[in-house]
Amino acid sequence: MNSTETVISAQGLTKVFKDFWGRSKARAVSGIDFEVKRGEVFGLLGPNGSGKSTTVKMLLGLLYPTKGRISVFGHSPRHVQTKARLGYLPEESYLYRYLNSEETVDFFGSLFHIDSKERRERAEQLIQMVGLENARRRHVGEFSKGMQRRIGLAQALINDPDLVILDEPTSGLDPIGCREIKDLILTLAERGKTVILSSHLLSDVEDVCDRAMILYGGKVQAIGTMKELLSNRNATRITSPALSRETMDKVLTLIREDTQSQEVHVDNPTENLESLFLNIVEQARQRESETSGATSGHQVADYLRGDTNQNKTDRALDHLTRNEESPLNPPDREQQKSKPIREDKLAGLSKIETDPDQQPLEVTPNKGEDLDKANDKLSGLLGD
Amino acid sequence: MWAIAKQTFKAAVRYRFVVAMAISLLIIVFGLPLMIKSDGTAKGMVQLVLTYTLGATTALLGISSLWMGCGTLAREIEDNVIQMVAVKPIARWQIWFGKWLGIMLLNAALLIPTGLAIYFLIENRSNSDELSSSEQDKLRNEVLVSRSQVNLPELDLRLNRARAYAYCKLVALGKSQYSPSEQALRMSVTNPEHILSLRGQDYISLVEQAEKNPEVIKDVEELEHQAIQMYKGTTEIILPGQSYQWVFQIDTNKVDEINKRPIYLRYKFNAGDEYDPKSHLCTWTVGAGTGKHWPANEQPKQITVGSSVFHELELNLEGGVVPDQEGPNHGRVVVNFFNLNEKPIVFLNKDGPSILYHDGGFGLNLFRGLLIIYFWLGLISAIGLMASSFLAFPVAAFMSIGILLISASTGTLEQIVEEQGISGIDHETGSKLAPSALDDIAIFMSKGILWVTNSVWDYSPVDNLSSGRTITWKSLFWAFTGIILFMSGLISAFGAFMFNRKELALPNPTASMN
Repeated sequence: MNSTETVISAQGLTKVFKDFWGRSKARAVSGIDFEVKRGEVFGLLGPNGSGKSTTVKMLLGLLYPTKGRISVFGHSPRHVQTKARLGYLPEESYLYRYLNSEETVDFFGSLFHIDSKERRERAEQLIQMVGLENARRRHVGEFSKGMQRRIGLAQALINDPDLVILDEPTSGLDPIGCREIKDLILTLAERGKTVILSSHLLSDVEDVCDRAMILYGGKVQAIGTMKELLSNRNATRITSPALSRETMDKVLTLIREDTQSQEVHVDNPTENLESLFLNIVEQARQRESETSGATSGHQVADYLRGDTNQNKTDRALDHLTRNEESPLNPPDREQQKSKPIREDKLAGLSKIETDPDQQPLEVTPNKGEDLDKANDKLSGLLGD
Repeated sequence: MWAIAKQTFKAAVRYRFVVAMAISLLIIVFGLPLMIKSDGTAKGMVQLVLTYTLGATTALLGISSLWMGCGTLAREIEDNVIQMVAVKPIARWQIWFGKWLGIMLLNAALLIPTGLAIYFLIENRSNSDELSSSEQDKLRNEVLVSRSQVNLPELDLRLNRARAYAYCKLVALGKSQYSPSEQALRMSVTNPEHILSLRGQDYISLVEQAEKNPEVIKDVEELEHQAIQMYKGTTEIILPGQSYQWVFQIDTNKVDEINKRPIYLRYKFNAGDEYDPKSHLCTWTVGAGTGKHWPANEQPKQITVGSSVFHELELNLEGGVVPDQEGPNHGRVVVNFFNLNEKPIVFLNKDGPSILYHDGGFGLNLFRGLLIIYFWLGLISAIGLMASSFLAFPVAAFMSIGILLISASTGTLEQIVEEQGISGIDHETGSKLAPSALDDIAIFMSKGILWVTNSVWDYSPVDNLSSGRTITWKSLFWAFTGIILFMSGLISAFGAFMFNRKELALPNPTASMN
């Protein structure tokens, strides 16, 4: 946390949608209180219809609270000057379909009164950053969903915002794009920017957020730091180099004696699906790469890093797919990557990590029902 | 705001709206003249071409402005695109005006080439070798010209009840000698008050009763209304065998310049009833008692022309028709009409007559006329945008069209005002059958709507241009003030206010504002 400055403050925030006659139709948000400090990455979690988007839209002044107070940088969300410090990526592409990438970024930049030279430079960097340099002249209406998300993200960052509100930012993106978004969020946070991440994808929030608020039925069900929310104080995990069978038996015996419980499990740490996928694509890229769609592997725009020196452009955190061991990666992210997510389903897949000659398409043999499910998911991600 | 305007214009270009409009306007400008059948004269043809092309251009651009006005905002709200703009540091009213500016940019981009095309088409036609020099002269003097109009002074229709009552009392005394104050009263009464004195006893009695019984006030007002109408009638109706004289005062500083060219008497009359189009004999003399007689032979000019349409009489004398000698007649053009028909001839005050004189070229006049059309388009755009600020596109379009139709159909409203309400009139007595408060409400509303619509549509650039009459800079200024600053300003303020209140991320269009 870089500062204790309160960026967002909501007290008793309530939103009731009414019909034409003023009768209540739905209570989307019901008396929620929360604060977000400067430099925080704050997650809004909840299932569909839980009030995440309504909250976000009240933060942006697109919906007006029925009750309660909300302030952004100490002002009403409708305060025009305050909006100059905001960047917003909506959950769907609400862009002008007849504009191309450059025109889109340039138009939204012009609303911030950024001079045309600066606007052009930023637009160029942003378009490269989101991997649309090959599609800069194509109309947004022709874009795939993922490409629309990318150009949406570019326009959201044109003003180097102090507060970035991202509504389902990884929706429609391929895993590389998802990772890039997460990298970007962390980079922004490094610079003291505040990020609001609204998502129903738990992994997105878990990977990047400092704090999160879980909504259900328009009410706050839980709020706190990720550690507070996720730690299970009734269990302990020990990670060590591979142990011999004898040592393992000794350790298990000791633990069982100590805990007086038979519920002690031992397994091998496995990589999560995202890391696996990124490794495969990285290998493919190293062999050969050419695409007519969105590309990846681009640096975060200079001005977003607060870095105007071209020589510094190879700094860490530019891209995790290339630079997994970036010094700016928070240590807990390394732990998260080794977390045994869906270990049972990925046990077989993890073997390919030990076989560098394995071809990527051979990763998906039929190895039982669980493996099929994992493969389906992987195919879906690749096909996006 | 400028970015929004450019964006709105770009949308029209990218969606090929501009191309479609440009093709339609090309068809109007170059296709319509091929289909028009005139009276066979070059003047008639050019007048029709001007009327039809300008009229059709105005109608087409008016519809497109309405469509754009309703669509550009409503569609962006429905598609949620406006959310991306609204979260940027730009006030809602700036978004609103940016949209309006964008539509006005589009209108300018379409109207300027259309105006130029019309100008060069007409000029080309008027210089054609197919026309004789006399036809070309006629065109240059009567259509492709800018002529100033000298109207009669407005009738003084004021009627002050206290003064009328005092005057009636004075007349009732039948005095032949008056005190200074009585003489001053006699000199101050208006024509309607004087006519009222012809029914002095009735009026005195009713006014005195009204002081005790307020219900009688209706009868007093009825009598006053009749007096005003009677006075108007004396200025408009010329009975068989009678004559009438109008005096036009022309700016004495311009007399020498005016006398270098012919001037024109523009008139329109009705005979029998307003819609009787038959021909009637008109007998005119100009300049009686001023030393400048027209016709030169001092014989009355007799012509047979149809009623209910405007005519022009060329007044041409060696040295000019307008008296140019210093003195009381300097600049006075005296026109006499003799009714030698068997029916009364009616010259409605609203239709003139008037004197026209040359004061400029056609090009500048066309430019001013196009500017007034442009102002109209601005108002129509504002109406469309205003409606779409709080309504969905189809409803906004329906509402805007409704407003335009009502504003263009003022006949019923004029009738309500003329007949003093919506309850019937006993045509034998001329009095109201069953006057009620509804009449007062209807009159109030009709007057209000008429005032608004007249302030917008009264400028009639198409009519002025096709008849070669000057659209003055002054009328252009007032058109700008009335149509753009006042009317469009009010509508824009309301539209921007509603847009500011609107929640742009409501889940569906039937949800209301908090």
